[in-house]
Formats: sequence, C-alpha cells, structure tokens
Amino acid sequence: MTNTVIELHGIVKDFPGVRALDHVDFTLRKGEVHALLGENGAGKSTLIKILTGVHPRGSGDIRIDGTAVDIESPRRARAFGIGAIYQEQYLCPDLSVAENIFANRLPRSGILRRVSWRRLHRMAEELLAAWNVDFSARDRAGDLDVPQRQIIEIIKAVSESTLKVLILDEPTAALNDEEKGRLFGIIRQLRERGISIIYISHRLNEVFEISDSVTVLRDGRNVGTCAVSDTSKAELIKLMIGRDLAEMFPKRAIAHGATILEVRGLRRGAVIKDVSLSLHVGEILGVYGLLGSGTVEVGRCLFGVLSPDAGQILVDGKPVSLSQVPDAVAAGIGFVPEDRKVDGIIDLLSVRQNLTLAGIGSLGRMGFLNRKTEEARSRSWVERLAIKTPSLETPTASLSGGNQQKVVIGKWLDSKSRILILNEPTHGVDVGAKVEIYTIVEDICAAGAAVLMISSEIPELTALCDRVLVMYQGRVAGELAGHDITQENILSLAMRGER
Amino acid sequence: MSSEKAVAARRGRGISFENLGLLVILVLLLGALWIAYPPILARVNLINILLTVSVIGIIAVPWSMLCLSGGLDISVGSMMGFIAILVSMLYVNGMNLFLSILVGCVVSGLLGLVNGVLIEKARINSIITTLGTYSILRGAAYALTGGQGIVLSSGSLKFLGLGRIWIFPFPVVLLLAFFVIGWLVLRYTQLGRNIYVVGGNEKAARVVGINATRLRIGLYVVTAIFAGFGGLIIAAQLSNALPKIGTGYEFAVITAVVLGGVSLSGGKGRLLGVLIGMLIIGVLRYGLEITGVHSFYQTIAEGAILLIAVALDQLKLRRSGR
Repeated sequence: MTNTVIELHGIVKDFPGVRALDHVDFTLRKGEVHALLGENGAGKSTLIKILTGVHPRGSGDIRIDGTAVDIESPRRARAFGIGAIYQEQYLCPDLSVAENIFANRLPRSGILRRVSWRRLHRMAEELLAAWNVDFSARDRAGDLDVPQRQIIEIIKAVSESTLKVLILDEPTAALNDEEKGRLFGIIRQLRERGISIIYISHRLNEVFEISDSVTVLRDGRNVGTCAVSDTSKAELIKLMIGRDLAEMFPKRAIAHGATILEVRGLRRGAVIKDVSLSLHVGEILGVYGLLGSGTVEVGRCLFGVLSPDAGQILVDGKPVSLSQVPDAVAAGIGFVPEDRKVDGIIDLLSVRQNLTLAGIGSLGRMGFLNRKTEEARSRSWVERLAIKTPSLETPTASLSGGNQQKVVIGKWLDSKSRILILNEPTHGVDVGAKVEIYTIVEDICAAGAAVLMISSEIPELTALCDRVLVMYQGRVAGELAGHDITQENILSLAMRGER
Repeated sequence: MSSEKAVAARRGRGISFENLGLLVILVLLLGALWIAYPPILARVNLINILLTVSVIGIIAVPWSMLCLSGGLDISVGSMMGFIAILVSMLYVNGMNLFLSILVGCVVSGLLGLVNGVLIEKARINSIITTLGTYSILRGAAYALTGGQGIVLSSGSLKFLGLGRIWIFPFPVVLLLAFFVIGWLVLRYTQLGRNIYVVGGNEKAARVVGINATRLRIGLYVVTAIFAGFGGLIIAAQLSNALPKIGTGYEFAVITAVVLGGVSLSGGKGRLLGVLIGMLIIGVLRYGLEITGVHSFYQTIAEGAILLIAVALDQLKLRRSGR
C-alpha cells in the first residue's frame, strides 16, 4: 500500500442528463506512467477535472497517500501535489521563461521587497540546466516552439516542490516525432524522480511506448486496468469500443436511387489533396480519417464554409458552385457541425427558434414570420424527433447533448435538405440518444434524402453506413462496402493509407 | 413556482419577470416623485416626461437592434450634433427643407457605413472605431460653424421639434411609432430573428447561411441615420442648431438599453425592456429637473443607475450559471 499515491474508489459524477462517471475505481502508484484511454465522452476529462479540483466529485472516496481527502479547488489539488498540463497552454507569451516559471513567487529582496531579477534568472537557469533543455531563462516564451513551451509548463509544475502527480492531457497532439521523443525523455526523467504520471492519449502506440499501466474508460465506467505488458492493442481497442454496435443496432435495408451528390477532384491547400466521391439517394456514406486527414475540411467545402482550390461538385448531376453557405443551402444541403456548441445551436434562443433557423424563409411572406406556422412546425419536429424538452420556448442550451443534437439535425429537416452532411453526429451524446439519432438518420434516408456521415467513431460507421470512404493525408485511401466495412480495414487504411 | 407564469415568461409574451422588476422600479420612482411633487401625474407632465426622452428613445430603437446583433456604436451623440449642423446650414442657405433632410440622411447613412465597414470588414474593435468617429464628428460640428450655433427661424423645420399631433408633441409621436415598428420587426420578421441569431452565435448563423457582417453593417447605417435625425429634432426644439447638440446622448442611450435588459454581448433582450428603461431615465431627469435639483446631481444619478443596471445584469448572468 505504501507505494500508492492516489486511490479513487466508487467515484460517481452526474451532469444534467448524463452520468459522466459511474462508480469508477482508479489506483495510481508512485513513479508509474499510467495511461488513461477512452473514446470521446468516455469520462476521461471528467475524471481529470475531479482530480484537479475543477469539478467536485458526486460521491465516492479519494485517498492521497492513504488519507481520505476532499479536492474542492484547483488550489487544493496543487497543495496535494497534483499538477496538470492541458492541451491549451497557459503561458504568458510576452514574459520570459524565468518569469513564467516563477510567475506566482518571484524572488524579492531589500526593504522595498523589489523583485530580484538576478536571483530569478539564476534560479531559472539552474532549473533549466537540471532538465537539460535547449533554451535560456531569458528567452521570451512566445518565441519558443510548442514542445519547448510544454516543457516550461512541466518544469513550472515540477518546481512547485511538492509535485507528486502530473497529468498530461494529449501532450503529443501538436508534436512531430522528434519533438515527441524530447517530451518522452522528460517524462522518463520525471518517472525517475518518483513522480507519477497520468497520461491521456488517443494514440495507442504511445501508450505502449511510454506507459507502465493502462486504464480504459467507457461510458463513464472503468472497464479495465492492467499492466501494459499484459495487454495488446487489439484488446485495448475492444475495451474502448465495447459491444459491437451492429448487434445493438441492426441495419435497415433502404433502396438506393439516383446519384444526388458527386464530387470530383476536390483540392484545398495542403489539407485536401484529391477527393472524389458520390452519394446516392437513400444512402449513408461514411467518411473516416485520423485527425488532420482532411475529413472535416471536405465536409466544410461541401457546405460552402471553406472554398476549395479546385474540383467539381455536382448536385443531381448539375455542376454547382458552393462558394458560400447560402449556395449550399439553396442546393438542398444541410450541415451538422462537429461541435454543436460552436456553430450548431444558438443557446440563448428557444428550441422553437433553433428548429426553424434554416427553414425560416418558408415561414411567411415578405420577410414576415407566421408565428402560428412556426409553432406548429417546430412542435411537429419535437414530436417526430422525440426531442425531450419542457416546452418549445425552453432555451436550447438547457437540453441534454443528445436532444441539442436532434435540434441541430431537425433544423435541416425543417428546411427540407436532401443532402445532409453530419459531422460527428453523436459527439458527446449518451448511448441511448445515440441509437435514437441513428434511427433518425435512417429515417432521413428512407424519406428520400442522402447522408454523408463524417465520424471518428468506427462502431457507428460499421453499423450504419452502406459504404465508408477512408481518408489518409488528404486523399481517399480506399472505399469499403458491405462486409468489408470492418474496424480492422478502416483503421489500417486510416493509419497506413493501405489495407 | 407557478409553471404557467414561467412558461409565459419564457414564451416572451407580455411582461417577463425581468421587465416586471423594471416596471416596479419605474412605479416606485414615480411614486416617490409624486410625494415630492403631486402634480407630476398631470397629463402635461406625463407627456413632458416622454418628450424629455423622446430622442433618446428614437435612437435607442435601432441601437438596441445593433446591440442585440453584437455591435456597439458610441458615436451617436456626435452624429446628432454633426448632422444637425449640416442640415441646418444647407437649410438656412436656401436649400429645400426635405432635400436638406434627405442629404442629412444620406450623409449620416454613409458615416454609419464607414463605422460598419471599419468594424466588420477591417475588424477594428467597435468601441475604438466609434470612439474615433465620436471625436471626429464632434470636432467637425464645431469646425463647420466656427463654434457658433445656427438660428432656425422658419416654422417648417421647427415642426420636427415643436409641432403637435393632437395632444402629443411630434417627437413623442415618432418615438411611439418607432418603438412599435421596432417591436414588430424584432418579433415578427425574419430580419428580427436574424438579429437575435447573429448576436446569439455568429458562427452558427454562418452555418445556416446568414451574413452577419452585412446585417450589422446595415444596422450601423440605420443607427447613424436615426441619430442624425434625432439631432435635427433637438435643433428644431431649440430653434438653434448648436454644435454641442447630442453631447452625452450616447451615454443616455446605452443606459436605457442596458437598463432595459439588452445584453451588451448581444443575442438577449427585448424592446419592451428598453422602453421601460428609457422611461426610468425620463422620470429621473424630469423629476429632478422639476423639483429643482441641480443638473450636477442628475448626472450623478444617471451614472449610478447605469452601474446598478450593469450589476443587475451580471447577477442575472451568474444566477443562470453562465
């Protein structure tokens, strides 16, 4: 027991409409690198926020060094020796490295308690020398590159003497291989000093490269903790994804019609190098690719949010120019963005107003709105999509994620879109609502529309799609159909560009 | 809580809770004034209260819309002075009244366009931009006349400020008309909905094909035209176009709008609240005036009211957990 730093037992955390953590147990030993894995929405960030005092836990025990504690604020977390480094960086770009490291405890001297710059720089240089880094204490933080700045944050956290646990949230997301190597060097140094590390990443290779043990979260539960040496990638993937969605959600047979959307030779900058695709009435076409493969950008090009450098887009066989969003809307295209909070819903406005956002032009004449029609139409969508809301006038922000997403989809149904581009349609949505959204997607197709589904959730692609395009570095690496749509095929195309 | 009432409030029908609070403040203020000065409830005094704030209110209508859409314009006071001088100069030098007013509208519209383009296209902060035009226009108003006023003797321009329709002064008629039109636009037109959408989440507006830039530039133009027209009304009331006309009006307009519950970050608020906010300022101004309190103290009171309004707004935000 003596070498356990953090012990969580039966942690439960509820958010409105969602149980984010469901009786999670978690043990972190001294001097280990412990990877935390899970899909989006699995509960990783909630767990971290509880450990760093950002969220209070709902119930359960937290023990640090064997003593039960409350981590009620980020300040307390730091006092317990828990530090975290997030994807966004919290350095002041215009201050020097030394000032950033000692920002809250600049050395003072003399009667006036003025800042002793000489001592500050000496202290910082000593620290930097100990970490064997390639920049100086007097460098401006903003002039350094991303991994260097990350290292400053790590050094800053470590220099607060009591650090026992360091949480790294996707630290390699913005790093290339060489930079990653440097970061891993630092992580190993930390481990040698007896500091425990919680390492969050989507990248399985890194988990095997750097960590000692691994915990997988799924739907807010700990579905497995083991030593890295005792497991395999395949096993971890299975744990992360869980039950095959296809079992839970049998695919409906929908007859396909004419080609409704065709894209030829789409190019944009360095992100989309060459993409061609076709979509038929009644069809669900999946698009998968790792971060940076260009899938998101393809969706945005097809909706006129981004304009392509080259390529042809045909709707119903006729070439269209989608240089602006209204062009795409006029062509019958609807778009559900990957993050509904950013550009999907207007949270201050009511469910009614959000549902008629896209189809508002048909709600009256000469720019006037017919409120009765609007209410009737939005009410019918609330009923047909089973949107759980206290009333039509409830601000959309107060609905649960799944119901917000239904509103975002509903506004395009209201505007009678025939081509729906869904971007991560079940992002941040609980399992029950996921299945409801899948049913809606199939209903849309059965009603004579077509769906382009850009998703990073492989189970929903295998369960729902008629065909799946896999993108790799801006190109279509392959198209899978029927029984070839398997997790292995999708992943190998996405990671290597070939099957 | 009574769910029916809550639903009614959320529906945006009738008077919502926030506006009810404002109404209570207004009634208390009137009550206090009535104790100090009973004749305040006479018809002539009530109409005078409206007259006191008529120009503030006329400008507050488009200003609220601009604010709801996420824009801000603090150059309105200077716009009033500049356009009042410009139109009066044209008019006293023999130009036809309607033609000179038309020129005033065009010029103020163009100046609003300059504001809008600088803010929306060149992406300069709205406060900085309109602070710049605020200074330029005020300076220009003084420079045009060398600091002198222009006496307006003829009756037809004066009607703008001093004319009456039945028992109501013409500016009050305009005020009520513009509020009704503004309310209709915000509630029953697609334009009004777009204003809320753009102010609520500009990115989401873009994803349904609403051009936020064009919408706001249009609102800067309309706000400028209304401000210029407001300046003319004041000049007509004084029968004298002074370059200082409109000084401090930006402050009064902002106070009325914020007091009325319109969020300065856009997307939230209703014109009915602004109407009550404006009336509170009117009662305060007229009441302090008629009871002989020095205008120094009026200024202090208005500043205090603005701070209270903003503080209430923050409290509300915090309670709704944002």
